[in-house]
Amino acid sequence: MTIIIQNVVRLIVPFILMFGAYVTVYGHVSPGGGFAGGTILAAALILERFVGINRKWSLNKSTCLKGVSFSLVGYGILKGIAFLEGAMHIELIHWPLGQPGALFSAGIIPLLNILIGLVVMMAFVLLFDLFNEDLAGEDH
Amino acid sequence: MRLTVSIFVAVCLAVVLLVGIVDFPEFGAANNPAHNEVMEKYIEEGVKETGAVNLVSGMILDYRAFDTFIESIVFFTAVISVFAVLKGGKIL
Repeated sequence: MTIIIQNVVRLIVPFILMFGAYVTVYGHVSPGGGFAGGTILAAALILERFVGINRKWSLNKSTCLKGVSFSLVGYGILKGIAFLEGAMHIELIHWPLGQPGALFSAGIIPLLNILIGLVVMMAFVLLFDLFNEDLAGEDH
Repeated sequence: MRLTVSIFVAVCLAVVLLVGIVDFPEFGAANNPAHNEVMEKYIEEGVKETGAVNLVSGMILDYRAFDTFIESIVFFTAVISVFAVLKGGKIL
């Protein structure tokens, strides 16, 4: 890609990432949530790969697979605890609901939103990397 | 021969499915089974019970959280399927 496109992408990708994080974290207050926010984050990272920018902190495949797995396990444990609490009427960990509309409210919903966002982002980036690698291998 | 058999199977399946649709309640009617007290409970007490102003979030991450769990497992399954089918089972 030309240096113009690379510089423009380098400039706007942090803002796209910030918007994706906003959509994910504020999922319980405003429209959005983990699926939408994770897709935006993945779109930013895939845009970087399209124009050929290699950043140091860019996710590699091993990190993506680990992230997807650990996020899913974390989701299962968090929601499993909450589910058993509700079903058996025990207060193992008390999740305060807080003031509706505030950022820190709604119990574990923001945490679950963030985990879903991580799963979606890393799964999409990993799929893109897998197919991209194959295509690059066939060309040369 | 194969074409005839496949057309026959497709037509049979379509007939069975269409017969199943005939008994469906009318779309949007007021006394449909979907319009029950659960809907009112979600709308009236959803914010109080889940604490989320965005009712959709409260729905998919509190009342139906395990549905969302399996939905995200679909992504994991997609990734593992690509590894299994295109990469010959080699992980990374």
